[in-house]
Amino acid sequence: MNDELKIFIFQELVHIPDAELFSGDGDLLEAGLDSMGIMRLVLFIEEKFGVTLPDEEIEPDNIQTLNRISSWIERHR
Amino acid sequence: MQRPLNTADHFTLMMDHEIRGSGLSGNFCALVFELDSNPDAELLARRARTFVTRFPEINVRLKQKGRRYYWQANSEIKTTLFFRHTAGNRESGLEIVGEIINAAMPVDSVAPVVFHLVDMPEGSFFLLRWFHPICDAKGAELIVHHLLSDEEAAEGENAFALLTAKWGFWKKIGMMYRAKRHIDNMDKISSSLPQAKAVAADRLKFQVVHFDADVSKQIMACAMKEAGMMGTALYFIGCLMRALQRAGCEQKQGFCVPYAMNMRKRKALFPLLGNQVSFLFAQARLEQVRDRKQLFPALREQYKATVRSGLDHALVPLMEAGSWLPLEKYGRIIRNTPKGQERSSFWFSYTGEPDPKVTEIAGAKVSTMFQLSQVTAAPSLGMLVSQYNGAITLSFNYVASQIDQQWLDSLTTLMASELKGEEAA
Repeated sequence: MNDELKIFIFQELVHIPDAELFSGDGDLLEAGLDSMGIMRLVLFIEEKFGVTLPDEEIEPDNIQTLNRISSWIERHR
Repeated sequence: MQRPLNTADHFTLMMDHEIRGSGLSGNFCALVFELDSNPDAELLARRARTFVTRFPEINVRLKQKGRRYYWQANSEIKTTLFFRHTAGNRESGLEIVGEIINAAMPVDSVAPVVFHLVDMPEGSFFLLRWFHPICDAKGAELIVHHLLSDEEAAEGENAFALLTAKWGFWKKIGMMYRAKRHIDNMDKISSSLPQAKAVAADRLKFQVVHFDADVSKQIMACAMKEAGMMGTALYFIGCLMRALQRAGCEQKQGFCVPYAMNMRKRKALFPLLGNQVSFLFAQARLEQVRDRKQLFPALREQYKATVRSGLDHALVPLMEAGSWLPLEKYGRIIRNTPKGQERSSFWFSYTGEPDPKVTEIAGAKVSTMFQLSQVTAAPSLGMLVSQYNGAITLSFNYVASQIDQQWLDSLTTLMASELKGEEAA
């Protein structure tokens, strides 16, 4: 799951010179993920993984890293 | 060397035509850095000369061939990219900044990128004025970065070209009709406009509101609470809709606000030039605007529905088709509803923190920054939101002869109160 998220984030939303080196605990907000990017990411996740992510759960704790996003998705599967 | 304009560049050129048609100087924008001392002007002049040799693609003029436009390289290196001014105090300094954004010149002789330094006893303003068809606001930030550093220009995919290259002819036709239907639906709600006087437009003025770090934190917390992590830009739009409604405006059935969606990847240092944007609309009915609790979730849901249905990109093929029209006709279609009413209640831009960050300019520390942009009349009002070290700045740009100063003061006060959530309490 992390790989698919990583590809989407680094191909579409944020530029990292070597995305391969970006770990699951790397800070996506620090890396430049902004509010419009978060919106696109959430919609991508909902479509790709067939989950509905409640708006009130869209907060740094769930978005900050790839690992946290993966856990968040798992909780809604 | 000739370089064609991309679809989004052409869109901003159409707006240049509309702005000039309104009686203003053209589609000029500026990034203005306020410095706490006077920088080394000789160093800046040298860097500007070096910049034009490192990036000759900015040493161009706009030319027209039939209905198409392109950038034509100047035959010689123009070194007059840097201009220095002196002002007796900050107020006079701001007047000079106003002169720079209002300086009119024929479209085919505009230098697309120029740097100005305004020295004052208490500090300086350093500004980049750019002609919008050359780049978007994020590109302007990259220009300042490269002016001040020796870093090699980065190369990488051009987000806008990559996106549009994915679409075949029939896909574009389908998207274009979807976008047209979307706009037709929006036009069923007539747009409220700022309270403007029925006189000819004269010049752009601006009023800048800075919030300190603590108040900015409070505002961002309100934005997070009411519009969520995804809705920061929408929070500012919604608050201005409400402030306009409370200040008294030409009230119709709702508010409609176009805003750019930048397709650049965040943190990418490329491409330097070209507008990499599509545009979207935020629209709300008056009854939604009157109810804060209803407004922000409604704007957020609207944005989600737009992205989910692909309408965020669908406007690009529509812009591409428009670029083959004469500028007058393109402008009329973009600005007006079929009933001939102005579609946009105000112009809006949110760029967040400059990236890469500029902390010092030729030995002088940057204390804050703001942006400027010419607007059409109507709506005669634009609000540009930026942040520097977390501190939020609102730059209200307005047509002086049409917007009453007292009314604007009341609008900015109401806007501050809306942003801080005082009306929600």
